[in-house]
Amino acid sequence: MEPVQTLRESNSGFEIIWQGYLTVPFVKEWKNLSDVWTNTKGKIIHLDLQGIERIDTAGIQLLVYLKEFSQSNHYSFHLKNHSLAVLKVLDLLGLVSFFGDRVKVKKEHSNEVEFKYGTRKFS
Amino acid sequence: MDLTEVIDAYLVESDEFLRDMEAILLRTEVSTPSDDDLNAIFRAVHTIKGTAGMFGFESTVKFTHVVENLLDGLRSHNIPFQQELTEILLHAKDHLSYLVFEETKGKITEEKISFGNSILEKMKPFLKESNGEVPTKTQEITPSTESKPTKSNSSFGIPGYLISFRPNRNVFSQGLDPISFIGYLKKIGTIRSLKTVSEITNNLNEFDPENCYLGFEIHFDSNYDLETVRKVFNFIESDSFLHILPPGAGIEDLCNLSGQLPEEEILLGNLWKEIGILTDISLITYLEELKTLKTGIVSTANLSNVTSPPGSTLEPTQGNTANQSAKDTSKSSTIKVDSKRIDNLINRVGELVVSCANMNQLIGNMDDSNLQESSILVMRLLNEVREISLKLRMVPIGDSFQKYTRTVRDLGKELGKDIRLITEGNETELDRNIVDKLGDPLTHLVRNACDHGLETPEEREKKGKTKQGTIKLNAYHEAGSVVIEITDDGNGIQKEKVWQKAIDKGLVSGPMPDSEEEVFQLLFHPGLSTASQITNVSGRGVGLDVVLQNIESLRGNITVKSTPGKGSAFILRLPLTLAIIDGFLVEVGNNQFIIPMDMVLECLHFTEENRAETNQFFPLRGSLIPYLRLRDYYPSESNDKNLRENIVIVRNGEKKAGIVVERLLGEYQTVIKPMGSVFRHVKGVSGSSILGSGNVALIIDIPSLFERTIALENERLNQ
Repeated sequence: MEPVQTLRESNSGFEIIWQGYLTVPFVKEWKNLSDVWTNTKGKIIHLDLQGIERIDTAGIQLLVYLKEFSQSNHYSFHLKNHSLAVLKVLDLLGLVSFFGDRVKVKKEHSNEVEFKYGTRKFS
Repeated sequence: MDLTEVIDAYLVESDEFLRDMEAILLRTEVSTPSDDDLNAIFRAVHTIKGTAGMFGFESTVKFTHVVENLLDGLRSHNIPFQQELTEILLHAKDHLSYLVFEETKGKITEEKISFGNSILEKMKPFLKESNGEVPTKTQEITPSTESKPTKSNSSFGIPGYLISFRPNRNVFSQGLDPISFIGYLKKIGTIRSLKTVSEITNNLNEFDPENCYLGFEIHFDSNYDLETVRKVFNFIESDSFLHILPPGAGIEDLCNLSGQLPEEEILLGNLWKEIGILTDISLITYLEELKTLKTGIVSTANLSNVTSPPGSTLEPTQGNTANQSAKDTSKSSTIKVDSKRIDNLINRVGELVVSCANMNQLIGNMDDSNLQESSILVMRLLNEVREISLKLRMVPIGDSFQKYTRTVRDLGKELGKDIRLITEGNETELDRNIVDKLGDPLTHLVRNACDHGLETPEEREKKGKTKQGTIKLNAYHEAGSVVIEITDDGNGIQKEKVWQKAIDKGLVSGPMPDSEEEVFQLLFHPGLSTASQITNVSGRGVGLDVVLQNIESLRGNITVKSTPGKGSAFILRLPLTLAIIDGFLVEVGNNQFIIPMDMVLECLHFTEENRAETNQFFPLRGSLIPYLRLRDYYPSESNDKNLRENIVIVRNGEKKAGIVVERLLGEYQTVIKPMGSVFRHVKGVSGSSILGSGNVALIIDIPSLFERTIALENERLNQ
C-alpha cells in the first residue's frame, strides 16, 4: 500500500500521520519527505501510527533513527496511537522502553502482545 | 586458567573498596552521608560479594549479603541513617576485611564467625525497621576450615540459546526482512529476552534508510537442537553474521563470540546480563576471562560500574546519559597493571640505561660526530623513558595516610583521648614498594603519638591546651628524598628521662651530652621505652628499634625533635625510589663508588693546606664541615701518595659533610642492585651497581657512613 504522510502544524510543533505500509518502499521515499524533521529545533513532533498496517525492519529502523536524530537535534519526538502491527514489532524487539511513549493496547489485541522484556524504563 | 592472579586482583580490589568504605564511614561521623556515599559503599560491598561468590567464598558471600541488605535499605532511604550505624558498619567493614583475606587462605575461625554473627545481630533492628525481615541465612554461617575449591569457569553454562544476529547491511535490497526470521523463532520455542543493538548514525547525510543498521542479541529457549534453530535463519545466514551458542556454552565461548562482534566486549557482557544469559557473578567471570586474554588487567572496580556503559544499545535516553558516558570513558582511561610487570619493566629499563651508558662511553672515544650526536639523542630519549617508567610505580602517599584516620579514631576512643588527625602533602608521590613497607613503621609512630605522646583531655586542659590533641602527618619532597613528619602537640619527650633510662639499662654512662639528637637516638635502642606504663597500645617491648630497622632497610633515616610540654616530631627521610639513581661516580685507588647525586652539593680541590687546623674539619666559606676519607673506610691497593685529592660536599638532611676521594668521574645513572644477604649488615653501603665497563661500584649510603664515623669518633673520645 502506498505510504501517506499527513502533516498538521500547531504552536508547539507538528503532528505527522503515517499510513499504509511502513516498509522498505516507504523508507526509500522518506528522505524526500524529511524536510519537516530537519528544521524543528525546540519543537515537538507527534507521529501518529494508527494507520500503519505493516512494518518491517527497515521501518522500525527508521523510527529508531528518528528517535536518535530528535535527541541530537533537540526536538521532542513521540509515537502515538501505535497500531497493532507496530506494537507487535516493538514488543518482539524489546523496544517499548527505548521509545518511552505510552502504549495503549486494545482489549481484543491483548493476547497478541506479551511485553515480557524491554518495557522497563531503565534497564 | 590460573586463578592465582585473579584472586590476587580480587584481594587488591577488595582492599581498595574496603578502604574507600572506611573513609566514607568515618566522614559520616561528622556529617550525614550523601546518596553518592551510600551508593559507593553499597557498590563496594556488592562487588566484593559478587567476586567472592565467583570463587565460592561462602562465608564472605553470606556475611556480605546481609550487609548489602542494610546498605540497600539505606541508599533507597527505606532505612533512615542513624549515627550508631557508623560504628556497626565500621565493624562490618573490619570483619569483611578479615573474611576476604582469610577465606582465600581457608583460615576462617569459629570465633571470628561468632564475631561476625554478633555484628549481624546488631543490624537486625535496622533491617526489621525497614521490612520486618532478616535473612535467616545469617544464622547458618559456618566456618570453612579449608579452602574451597574454586569453581572452574567451564562449570558455568548459559541458560538457553544465545543468538547473536547481525543482518548484512544490504539485506533489505535482497528483499529479506530480519524481523520475520526472529518472529519465526517463536514457532519453535520462546524468546526469553531480546535486545536490539544499533549502529545507526544520527547524521542525516550518512544515514541510508535502505541499509540495515540493526542487530539482535536473543536469549532463546527451545527443545529443538542447534541445527533446527540454525535452520530458522537458513535464507539469511549466508549473507549475515549469525552465531548461535547452545545452552550450556561456557564463558570461553562468550569471550570468543565477543571477539567477533562489532560491539565492545564490556557492553556485550552487560547486554547478555540484561537478557539473562549472564548473572551478576558470571558477568564478572566473563570479564575476568577477557582480562586473561588481554595483556592488561581490567579492574572489577570499573566493571562494577558498567551496568550502563556507553554504547550502541537502544536504551531510553535520559538527560544525564551523555554525562554518564563521559564518566565511564574517564574511568576506563585508568588500567591496573600487576606491579611485578612494572618492576620487570623498570629493571629492563635500568639495564638499558647501563648498556647505553657503556655504549656512549665507547662512542665518545670514537671520532665520529654523527654517531656521537645519535648516541646523545638515544640517551635523551632513554632518560625520558626512564623517568616515565619510574613514575609508573609512584603513588601518592595520601592513600596510605588515609588509613590512620581510623587508627587515630579507634585509639582515641580506647584511650579516652580526643584526637584529631591532620594530613598534609597527600599528593606527594613515592615508590609503591616504599609506601607498602612504610605501613608498619608509620602505624607504630602514630600509635606511639596517640598513646604516650598526647595527654588526656583533662591533663591538656590543666596545661592550658585545647582538649583535643592533634597528630599531623605531613609529606613533602626535599632534595631528591621524601620527608614524612609525624608530629603531635602532646607532652614532648624529656631528654633527661631518656638519658636516665639509658643509664639504668647500662647503655650509656656519664653526664648527658648537649646534643638533643644524640640523646633521642637512644630511643631507637632495643628495649628502651619511656612509657611509664604498659598499655594495650604500646610499651610492650616492640619498640622504635624495629621502626628504625624498617626505615633503614629502605635506605632512609629518622630524626627526632621535641619540645617538652609542646610536642614531638619524628622525621623520616626516604629515597624516592629503590630502583635507579642518578649517581656521582668517584674513585679511590682502584675502587669506584657512587654517591647519590641528589645529595651532592659541590666538589672542591682538597689539599692538606686548606684543611682546618682542627682535625677532620674542612673550612667552607666561613664554616667548618666535618669530612671523612673514603680510603680510611675502604682501603685500596693503590698507594700513589702524590695523587691530587678532591672533596665532595654532600648534604644529608639539614647537615653538610665532606667525603674525600681521589678522582671525580662525573655523573652516572645507575641501577641499584641490592646487596646479598651476607652483606646485609654492612654499614655505609646501600647497594652495588655494575658499570658499563663491567666493574662493580659500591653505592655509598651517606647517612649510615656518617653515623658510623660519629660512632667511631665517640669511641675514640671515650678512650
